[in-house]
Amino acid sequence: MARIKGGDAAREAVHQAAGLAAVAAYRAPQLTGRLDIQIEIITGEDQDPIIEFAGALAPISPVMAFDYQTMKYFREKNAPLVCVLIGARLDRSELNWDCGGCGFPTCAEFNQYAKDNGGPGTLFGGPSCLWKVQDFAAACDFACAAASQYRVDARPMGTIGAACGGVGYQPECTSRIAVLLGPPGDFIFFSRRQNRDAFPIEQHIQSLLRTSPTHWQAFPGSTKPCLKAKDDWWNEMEYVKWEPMSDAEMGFVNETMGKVQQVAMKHVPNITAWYKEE
Amino acid sequence: MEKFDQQRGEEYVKDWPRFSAQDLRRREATIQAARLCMNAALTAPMAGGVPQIEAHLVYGQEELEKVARRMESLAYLNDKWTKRFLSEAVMVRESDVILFLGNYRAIETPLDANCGMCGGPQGCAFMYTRRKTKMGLIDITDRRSETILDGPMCAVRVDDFGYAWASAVWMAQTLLVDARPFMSVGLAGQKLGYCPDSPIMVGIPMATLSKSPYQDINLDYHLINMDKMIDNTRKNFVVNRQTASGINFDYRTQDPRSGEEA
Repeated sequence: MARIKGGDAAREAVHQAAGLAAVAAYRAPQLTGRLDIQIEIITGEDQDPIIEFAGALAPISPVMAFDYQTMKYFREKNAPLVCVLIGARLDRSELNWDCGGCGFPTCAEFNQYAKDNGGPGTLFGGPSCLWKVQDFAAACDFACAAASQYRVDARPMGTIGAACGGVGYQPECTSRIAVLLGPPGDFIFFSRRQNRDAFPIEQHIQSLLRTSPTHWQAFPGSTKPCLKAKDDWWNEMEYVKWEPMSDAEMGFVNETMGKVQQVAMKHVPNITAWYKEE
Repeated sequence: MEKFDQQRGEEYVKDWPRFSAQDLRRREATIQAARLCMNAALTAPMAGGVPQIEAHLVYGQEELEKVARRMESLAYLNDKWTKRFLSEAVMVRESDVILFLGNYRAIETPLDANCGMCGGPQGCAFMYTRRKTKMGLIDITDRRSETILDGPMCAVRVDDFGYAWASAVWMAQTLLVDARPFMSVGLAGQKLGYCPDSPIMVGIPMATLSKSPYQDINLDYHLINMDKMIDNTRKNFVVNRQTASGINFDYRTQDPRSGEEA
């Protein structure tokens, strides 16, 4: 007889669920029947470069910041958080369906454009064959659904997938999604209680005002309505403006991207070396 | 009479003859399963949780035939499609129901996140510079297109769409209902006007038969399949009765066999 702690059993179970998610992703239905899916399961300290990259981008990307804080929190707790990284190369089409969905009349023209002008965007590479995109998504969906069948929390994240690519994972893929699994608990990747202390209440309020300004808009008859951004909004009225980023803001973006580049340079040689060995 | 007294009855179910009352009862259950698959598509993971999926359920002999015939006409538009589309048209005829799914945001209301999936380094400029727009609003009223699909589209919306139909197929597999997603079926559905707001569609035929209609497909399936074989049997056997022996004796008074064979 053995006495196994629940936490240890759960850790093991999440790892097993990751394997089953990978099986499901490989056997997901395909419209093309031609997409090669790549999958890696990343755990423990191997997540640290990914977290570092996400953290470097976080100051200029709130969505990256949310996912960075979540990964960092559970990594520091040594909780059983598992990253199932799913990638595929979507920027070539040998289908010759010539459907036009990508914006080019023929697959040959799509391939030529991809060869001459393609490359990485901010989250994914492009251009992408829309039929292969769907097959890639189906693999990610099946991975999530498999984990969900075992009541293991799962969330597919383009942000963390991009961070994985940024430090050198799956160098031949143009799109990567990180399906994060576990740790056991109530709504780990939704209603993220663990992020509460990472973001002050002022930031929540600012985010709401910035993203849904019409909800707080005063009478528009003046054609220049003020924003009810405080309780006594009629005193010292505040207005929405739109303008290009200031030099200071652009400078901060560039400075942050410089730091992101440094993190990438630090990790890419080590991680891409694995693929050369394989 | 209380309502529970009305909940009594008998249902005979059998998959043969096709479209008989007993077969339609069987098909009814597949249609119910298809409704659950439709809901699974709606709850699939989507970027930002944004609603963007519409659906159409199509069933009935005439309705399925209409889809199959449109697939057959599309088959000849592209050599690469011909064999595939013709075989898949047979599968549609053998199905109980088709679940059509479409993404209604793939052109008009993109994600606008500059992510790069549609065009790479150009970000959203790739799509916006190739479509008719005003102040960032995409004008979809000109629906003319030289290609079968009106691209380019927001690739992340299409990515979300992949999650949607995959979740529908997952649900079908969970319910042990045979189902398979097809580009060809979706294209035919689109040309027939199903999911009217969607520029990209996938069709998922479903069936509950002893043998899945979507696997183990033989060569020239549009010529060699169950319907054709049955029809050829009908065509030939009526002749066989006459040519083999039927016209050479009177069944009431004669038997060409003798002794114990008779």
